[in-house]
Amino acid sequence: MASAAQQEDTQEILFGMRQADERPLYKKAVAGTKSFAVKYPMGMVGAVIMVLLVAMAIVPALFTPLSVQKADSIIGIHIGDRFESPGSQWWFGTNALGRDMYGRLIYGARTAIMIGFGAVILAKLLSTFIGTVSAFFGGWIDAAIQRVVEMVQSIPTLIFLILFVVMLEPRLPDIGPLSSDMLVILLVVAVHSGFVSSRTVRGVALSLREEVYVEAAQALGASDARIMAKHMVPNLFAYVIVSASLFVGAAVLLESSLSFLGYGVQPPAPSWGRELNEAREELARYPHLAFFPGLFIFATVWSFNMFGDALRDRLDPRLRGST
Amino acid sequence: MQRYILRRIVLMVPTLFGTTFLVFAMMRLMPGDFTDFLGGDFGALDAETKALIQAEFGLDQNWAVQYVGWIADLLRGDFGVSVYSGRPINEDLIQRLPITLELGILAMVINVIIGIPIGIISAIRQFSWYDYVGRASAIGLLAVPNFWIALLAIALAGKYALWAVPTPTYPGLLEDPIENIRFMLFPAILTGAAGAGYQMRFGRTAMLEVMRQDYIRTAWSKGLQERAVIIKHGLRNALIPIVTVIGLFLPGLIGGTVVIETIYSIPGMGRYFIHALNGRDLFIVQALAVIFTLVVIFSNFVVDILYSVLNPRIRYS
Repeated sequence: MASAAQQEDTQEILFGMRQADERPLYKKAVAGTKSFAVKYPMGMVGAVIMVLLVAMAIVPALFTPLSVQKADSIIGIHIGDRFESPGSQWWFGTNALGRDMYGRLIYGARTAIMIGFGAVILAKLLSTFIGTVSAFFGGWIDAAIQRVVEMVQSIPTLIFLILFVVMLEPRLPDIGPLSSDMLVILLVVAVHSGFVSSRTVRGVALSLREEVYVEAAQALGASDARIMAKHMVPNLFAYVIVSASLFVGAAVLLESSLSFLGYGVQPPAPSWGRELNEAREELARYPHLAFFPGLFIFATVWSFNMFGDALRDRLDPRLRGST
Repeated sequence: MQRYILRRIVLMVPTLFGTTFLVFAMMRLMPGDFTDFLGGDFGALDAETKALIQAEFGLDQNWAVQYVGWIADLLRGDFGVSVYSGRPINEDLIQRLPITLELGILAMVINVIIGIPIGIISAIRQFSWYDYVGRASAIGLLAVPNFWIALLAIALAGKYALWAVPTPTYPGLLEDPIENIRFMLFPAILTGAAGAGYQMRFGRTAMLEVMRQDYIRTAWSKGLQERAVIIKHGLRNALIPIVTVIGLFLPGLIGGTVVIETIYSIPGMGRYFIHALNGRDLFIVQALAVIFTLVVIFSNFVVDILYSVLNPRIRYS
C-alpha cells in the first residue's frame, strides 16, 4: 500500500508532469532536511538537540574539557572538593562526593540514551509482534492475549515498574556497557510498553487483515507467518516508527523517575534521575545540584517529543496533532 | 447495552485474578523478605527465628494456600496486618486513603481546568500563534519531570520565603482546611501537570475532528454566529470524547502521587507504598497494589460505558 504522496509522485512521473528526481542521495537528504526545517522549525530544533544528545552518548569526550575526562573525576570520591560552586573549574559545580557535575551529566546521556533507545526498540518489536499475532489469528488466541494486555495495563505504570525492578534487580548479568540495573530498567520498561502499546498496533493490524492483498496472499496459499511478515508488518511500519519516536522521551522520563525514587540506575554510574535524588539532601544550600540534572532530562524528553510530533505530521498527516 | 455491560463485567474477573496473582507472586519472588530487616542494628536473625516469624504470618505454607487465603480475606474486606507494627492495614488505609484521594481529585481538577480550555481554543484557532504556543506548552508539560519542578520550588521557596514552603507535617483537611489547601495545592498542580499536557493535546484533536464535520459546515453556511457554531455545534460534540478520556489519566496520576508524596512528605498511599516496599512489608504492598489496580480497572470500565452511552454511534458488539 503506497502512501497517497507516493502515488501522486508515481503518477506525475508516469504522465511526464515532473522529471524523476535524479539528484545524488546526499543532495536529496540536504534538501529534505531543509524542507523539514522550514515546515517544522520546532521539530528541527528538537532534532538538533537529539543529535547532540546521541553524540554525547557516543563520544562524551567531545563535550568535556580534558580535566573532566578522567573517570576519576566522574565516579571517584574527592572529599576535599565537595559542594564546589559552578565556576571555571567545575562548570556546574561538584556534588556531595566531590564529583564534577558537568562531566557526570554529559556521561549520564549515555545511560539515558542507551536505556531510552534500547527500551523503545525492544518495546516496538514486542508490540508489533503481539499486536499482529493477536489481530491475525483472532479467536481464543486474541482473547487470551488481550486479557494479558489488560492485566499489564491495569497496574499503574510506575507501580508495575517499581515492583518488577525490585524483583529482578540483582538477578541479571551485566551486558557490555549495560550494567545489570540498567538492563533491568530497560527490560521492564520495554515489556510494559510493549504490551500496552500492542493494543493500538492490533487496531491497525485488524484493518490490514481485511485488505484485499491479504486475502489474495491467503488464496495463493501463503503461510500465516509469511502473510504477517511480508504483508502486514511492512504496512505497520510508518505507524511504528512514529510511535517509537514519541516513546523515547517517555522512556527517558520513566528511567529518571525510577532512578529518582532510588529503584533505577545504581551509583556510581551517572544517571540524571539519581543525581536529582542525591541533590535533595542539600537542596536548600545547593539548589544548582538539582537544577542541571533536571534540565538535561527536560531537554531530552522535550526534544524527542518535538521531533516525534513533527515526524508524525510529515509521515502520517491523518494523525496530525493527535496525542 | 445491558449485554455489553454484562460482558464487560465478566471480562473484568480474569483481569482481577490475574493482577492479584501477579502482585502476589512478585512479592514472593523478591530477593530478601522482611525478616532480613528485622534484626536491624543487632545483626541478622538466625534461620530458625526467621522461620518462626514467617510461620506466624502463614508464609511457610505453599503458594496456593497463601493466595486463596489472601483472596478470601480480601473478599471480606480485610487487607491483613503490617508485619512490622502488627496494625491492621485497614486502619492505616482509613487515615491515608482520603489524603491521596484529595491529592488525586485536586490534580484531576487542575488537569481539566488547564488542559481542556487550552486544547479547545488551540483547535478553534488552528495554526495561529495561540495554537503554536498551546501545543509547545503541552509538549513542555509532558516533558518536564514533575519531581524536578518540585525540588526547584522547594529550594526557591526556602530561599525567598514563598508561600509554597512545605510545612513539616501534613495539616488535616478537617482540622485546618485553609492550611491544608495551601499545603496541597502546589503538589496537586505538579501531579496534574503531565496529565494536563495530554488533555490539551487530546482536546485539540477531538475539537479539530468535530470542526471538520459536515454539520459544522452546514452551521457555518446557515450563517450562524461563530459563537453558536463553536459552542453549540462544535464543543458539545467534542466534549463527549474529552470527558470520557479523563478516566484514562488515572494510571499516570497514581504514579504521580507516589513521586510527589515522597518529595513533599504527604502521608498518603504513595509514600506508604514506597515505605512498605523498602521494608518488604508484603501485605501492605499487596493491598495497595490491589487498590490502585481496582481504581484503574473500575475507571476504565466507567469510561467504556460512558462512551457508549454518550455516543450512540458507537455500539459495541
